[in-house]
Amino acid sequence: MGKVKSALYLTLVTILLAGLCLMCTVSFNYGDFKGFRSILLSTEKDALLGNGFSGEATAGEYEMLTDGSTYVGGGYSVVYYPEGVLSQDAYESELERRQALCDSLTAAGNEADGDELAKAQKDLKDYEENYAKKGSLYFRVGAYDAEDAEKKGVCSLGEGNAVTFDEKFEAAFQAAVCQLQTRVTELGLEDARVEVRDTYSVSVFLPALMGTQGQGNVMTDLGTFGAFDLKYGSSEDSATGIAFDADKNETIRDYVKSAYYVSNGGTPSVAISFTKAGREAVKNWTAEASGSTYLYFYVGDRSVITLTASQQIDQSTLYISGSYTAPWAKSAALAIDTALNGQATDLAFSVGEVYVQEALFGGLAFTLCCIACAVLFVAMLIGMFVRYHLLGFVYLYSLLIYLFPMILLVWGIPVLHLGIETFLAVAFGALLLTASTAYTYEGARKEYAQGKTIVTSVKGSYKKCFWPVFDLHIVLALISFVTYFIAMGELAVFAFTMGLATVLSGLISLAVGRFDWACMMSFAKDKGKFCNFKREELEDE
Amino acid sequence: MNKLRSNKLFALFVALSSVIIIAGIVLYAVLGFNNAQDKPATKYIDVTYGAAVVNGTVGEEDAPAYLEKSAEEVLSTAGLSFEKDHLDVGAITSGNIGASGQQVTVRYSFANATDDALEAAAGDIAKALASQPAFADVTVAWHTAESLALTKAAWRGAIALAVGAVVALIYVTVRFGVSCGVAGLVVCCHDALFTAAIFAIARIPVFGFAPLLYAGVAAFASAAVWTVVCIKLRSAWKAAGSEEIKADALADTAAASSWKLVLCIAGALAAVVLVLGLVAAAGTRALVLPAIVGCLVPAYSSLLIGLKVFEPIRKAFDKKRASKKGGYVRKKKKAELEAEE
Repeated sequence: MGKVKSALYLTLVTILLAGLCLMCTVSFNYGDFKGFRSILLSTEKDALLGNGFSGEATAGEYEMLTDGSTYVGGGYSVVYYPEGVLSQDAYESELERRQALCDSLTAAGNEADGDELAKAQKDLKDYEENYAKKGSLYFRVGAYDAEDAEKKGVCSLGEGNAVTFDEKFEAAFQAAVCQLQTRVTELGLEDARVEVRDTYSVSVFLPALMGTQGQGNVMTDLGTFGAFDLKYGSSEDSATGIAFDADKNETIRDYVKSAYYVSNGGTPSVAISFTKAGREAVKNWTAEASGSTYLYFYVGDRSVITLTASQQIDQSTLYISGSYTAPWAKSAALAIDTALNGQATDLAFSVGEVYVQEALFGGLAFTLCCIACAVLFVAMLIGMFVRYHLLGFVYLYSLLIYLFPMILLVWGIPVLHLGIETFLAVAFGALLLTASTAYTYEGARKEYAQGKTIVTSVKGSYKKCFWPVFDLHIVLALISFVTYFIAMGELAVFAFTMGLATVLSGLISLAVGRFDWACMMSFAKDKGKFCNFKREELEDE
Repeated sequence: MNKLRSNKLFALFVALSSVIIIAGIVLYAVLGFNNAQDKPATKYIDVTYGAAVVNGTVGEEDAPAYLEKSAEEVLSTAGLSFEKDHLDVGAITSGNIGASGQQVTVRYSFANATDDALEAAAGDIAKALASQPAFADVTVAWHTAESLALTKAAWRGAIALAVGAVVALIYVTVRFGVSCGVAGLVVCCHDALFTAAIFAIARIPVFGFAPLLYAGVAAFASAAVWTVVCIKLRSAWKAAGSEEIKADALADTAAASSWKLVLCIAGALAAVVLVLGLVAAAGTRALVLPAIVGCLVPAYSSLLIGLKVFEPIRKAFDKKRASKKGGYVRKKKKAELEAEE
């Protein structure tokens, strides 16, 4: 290639790389109000490596971000309490409220309020007597299967106020925990965690990766238990369910088969699959639907999905979309499906404490990972410059051409995000690129040493090295992409990133690198010296 | 290198690998991995305070700092060592989770503490804070937590790696022959299992998902290293030209020419992991550094086991090819004889 064309090409590539470097790594402000967040900072991060601006941002620095967020990564933690179990805080707050009511009525001293005061005092006494403390939780005393809902409890008090739990409550709690575990697993979110807290409450941690909208709905759906029911009407109060044929021992499963998550052209939806009878029932219900009637999909006492029926519905599978995010649609489908086909439990759960957590590995973890990668890249660069002198610049360009598109890919592809496994895969990819590049350089060095011209050496080396380098890359790409399609969680992210890194490394080491080499070398007077290649010294006989 | 590839030592290496893998499987079935990094059973004290403390002061000191100092003094007096985290208390509004930053929970986690000690410490902290009017609304509660295993990712990952390895090695079979493909599959499976077994046996504390990730790293490294060995095998075969080269001689030549390269690759992979681990934060270090095992195992298996597995398969194929060739010659000769007659 001629010098002019080479100069033009190299200038363009340098400008492009400088622009990409700026976009990917530098955050800055311009004007009074606008802030630019680097791609590296705004890329989604997993719960371990969350990163943001909240602590370090100076006043007015990042307020104008379009999504209003100041932190990416971390996660949310929610504690669920079964019916009849209260946290210390909830119990004490209710006790204080009742005490305050008694105090205010006593202070008023009005005779007309006498009955009200007596009732308030009785309520307060009942409340104190009806709850027993064990550990940090308060448990309602009474039989679990009591017909009167107000007397329904979870434990009984023995000698010395020893708490004995109702076996039916314990069984229902275990079943609910199993369902919750299944739901969280099926969500397939990285770093998700389920903990049994204080023996009779459950804590669920989900990463912020699940999206900035609808996380509360996901958490609420996960903790919704009870039997599934399908109702139709103009409001929740007046809605009626399916009239089961008692003679045939019908249940809701004779009408609804399953619920599952489906993505219709990128739109997250919940699919409800009906049996023939279910399809007929819905068809009859919605025969005169006008938009003011609704189909309610209940789990326990809560309508997980409310669907407006604006026309007759006659489908064996109903696809419901709307403002769902993928995790929200999944959690709604899972709540319905596990209620339909899972282990039955009628224990209702309420959402207790909600926590927002930042990077689980600490605020510096992300920055240190970036520094570690930078150290690796610099070490590889130094090695290449020492071995090949100015040819190291060709490798530098190769490395940058690999690095910035990788950052853009991780940022732009929805299934990818920054986590330890991503850093590991990017670093392995860089190593693969370095090894492939060094392999071809060494091939050229050997050819040149034998007395060939530099152009013939490069050509010969690439010809010899093409298949070995191609084989290595194709094997790694195959194993990566196949693993990605089957695995889930961290391994899937690692595999997909590794696959992309392998493809990029292959393209750069076999095509782009060679072109850059030709362009850069066109300026060198002594091409052997440029590459630090030497001829073999022949001994005189 | 070829001294290490003697038949006696090969038997020793196979026995060693078998013992480690079987022991690993048994220990995994009985005890699982050591998921201590996941803190499967923890106890903690939550101290929760609201806006009055967040924005308040005690004397000249910020109220949150004073509160934490008071709580930590109590814990130190009780002889409890702890880890501290700050959590924003949020709420679910309109289907979204948000935190105002005006209510905070300071979580003190304990690795070793009895329930009684924890209850007493929580009570003491509450008493110590009650002496300050600024802390009137602070709540102190102690909790125990036991995490539940989410195993689906593990078995899906194991299947994924196995299928991935098979597909990749089908390519190796097409390019380098069946003997390379089969030996590669043995090596790849060995490396993934061997790596996971080491974590089960050595009881190295890891995160729950991590052994699978390490097995994945081992499978990837193994595929890369074995492809390099295959390339060398092919070079040796090509270098022999038209001469018949026996499988063991081929393996010897490939081993002699590739061992430095294989060690370099394994070393470079380990160096990448080491740098990432050493520079990174404590949690990252605990996650990344054990991956070194997955980087080094392929060097051992490719050179000392894989090439030895390759030899008999290759011999069998050579024999089959020779017999086919012989048959063809005989038939040809027979046909020639018949023609002469």
